[in-house]
Amino acid sequence: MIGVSIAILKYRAVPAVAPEEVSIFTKIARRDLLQDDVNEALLMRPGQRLTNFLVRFDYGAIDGLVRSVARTVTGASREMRLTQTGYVRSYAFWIVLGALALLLSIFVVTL
Amino acid sequence: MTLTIIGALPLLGALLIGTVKKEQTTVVKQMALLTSILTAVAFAITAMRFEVDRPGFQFVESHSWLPTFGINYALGLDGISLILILMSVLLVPVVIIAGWHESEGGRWSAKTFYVLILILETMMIGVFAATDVFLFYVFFEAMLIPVYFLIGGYGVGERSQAAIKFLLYSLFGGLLMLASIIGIYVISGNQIGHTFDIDKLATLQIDSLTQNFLFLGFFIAFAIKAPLWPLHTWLPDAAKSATPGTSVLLLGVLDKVGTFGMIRYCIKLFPDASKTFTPMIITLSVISILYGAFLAIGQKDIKGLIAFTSISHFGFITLGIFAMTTQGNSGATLYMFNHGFSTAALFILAGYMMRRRNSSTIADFGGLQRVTPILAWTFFIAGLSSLALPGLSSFVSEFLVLVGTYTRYPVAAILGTFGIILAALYILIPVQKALHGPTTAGNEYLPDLTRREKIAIAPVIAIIIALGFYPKPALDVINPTSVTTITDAGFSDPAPTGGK
Repeated sequence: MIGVSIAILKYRAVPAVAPEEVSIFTKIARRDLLQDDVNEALLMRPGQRLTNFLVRFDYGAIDGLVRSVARTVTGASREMRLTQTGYVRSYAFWIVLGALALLLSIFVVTL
Repeated sequence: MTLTIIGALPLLGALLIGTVKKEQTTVVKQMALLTSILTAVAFAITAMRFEVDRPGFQFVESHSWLPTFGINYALGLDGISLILILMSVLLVPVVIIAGWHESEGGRWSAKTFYVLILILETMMIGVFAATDVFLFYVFFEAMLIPVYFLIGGYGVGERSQAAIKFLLYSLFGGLLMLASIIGIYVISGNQIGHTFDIDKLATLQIDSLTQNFLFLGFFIAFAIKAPLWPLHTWLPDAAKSATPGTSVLLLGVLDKVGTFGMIRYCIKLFPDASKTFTPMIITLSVISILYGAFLAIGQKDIKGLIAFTSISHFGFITLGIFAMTTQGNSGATLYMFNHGFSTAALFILAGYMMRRRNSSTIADFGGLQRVTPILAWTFFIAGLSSLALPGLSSFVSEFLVLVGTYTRYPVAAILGTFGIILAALYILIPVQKALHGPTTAGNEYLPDLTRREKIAIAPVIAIIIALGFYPKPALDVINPTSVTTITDAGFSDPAPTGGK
């Protein structure tokens, strides 16, 4: 009863607008003891950054590796296609080169 | 012959549809639906005759196919294959009803679409029922073809690219598995005579180095299919490009072939190698759980979101399988079944939402709770099932997986538990954005679910709730096979620990 009486006497005249100039403790109390701020700083923001990083990592690194393999195969195929010139002399040259490679490999194996 | 007849029913339906003119789309759809319902009923009757306490395969049939190579057309059912075929045959009619208009706007006719779906159903039954490794491989590879055409021919966006990516990934895995199959076939010839019979192959004495190589051939193929991190990148592309119905079959059924294969082939045929690679696989599983969950949180596209949640869920399934405990194995198998239905519900409802809004961006769906309450509530229940809320089916399986894992790998189980917290984020944030808050412009007059749409989603939601409260019928079928899998592979459950 005494406590209630003191509180009534002290805080009877409550200002309509909360005062701006208050102690740091009042400011913290007004922000719900900074629970949201702590959660945001320690969990939410780092979590968002990690998520955004992983989305980029998945596309750039993991899927990017697969795409680069695909690009390499496509590029190599495009280059190899140029060897098909339609000239008999060109094909004859490749046949001779192949035969030489075959002979060389037989020679190396039977050494 | 029971399994052959059931497996042939969808193929027969596809052949009959082939005789109908392609302009008669309604007749085609009705025939496809009737065939899928008949198949589901026929298999349900067969499943009721399954004796849960009898060990080994049941409904066995074996016919010589290529005797020169010891290849047989051999089928049979154990608890795991039974539950997965049941899931498959129940999902196909649901997909057909839910996606009644999915074939419209495709590269080919509705007739081709439903023929492909039914051929795929035959393959799905075959791949789970095969007891000959070569026959399994044939179904494993052949089922890629209808899926390739379903994504490439009827999907949206960059569908051709996604279909090719899916095919190349799967073929690469299949190639490695083929090398291992040839390897084990050669070894069988030296020891017991050439055979592909799974039970006979399980008796082979293989040195540890060879076993490791053979195991990896199978495992990589299944890890691509499942998919497990870092072999997962084909899945989000395929899921985003495929129609919702195809995505249901892709994530709900086809991906289960990977985790099913890990139990049926990796552990059964190569128990020592399984033991060797377990730490690595457990690590990859935990990464998949957390990685999939984080990427799901970061998705702006609803189909991408469901795809990444599945990568996280497949991490749980693989974790349960390689925990090498009966609880973990039972939980993982039940997880496969439950995931099939929860993913089906999410994709089907996402499909309804996308069809109404003509967009798959989550931000475009604001305020659906007020405009389309039934659609919003069913999506909410499906989402809660995906995050494994107690009372819904996924909770039981996730709980069993984590308990089963904890007894052998407590750190992995604890890390995996963070996946549950992240699941709440990746489900509740989109639910908040899509269903609640102010109605986004353009959503004010969206219609709620039609009678056809309600008929399609109702049984899926009913199964999710029923198995959440009473999973015993499913576990009764799964448990004996899980016990056999673990004990045959030479593992035993760790003794319970604790204070007085």
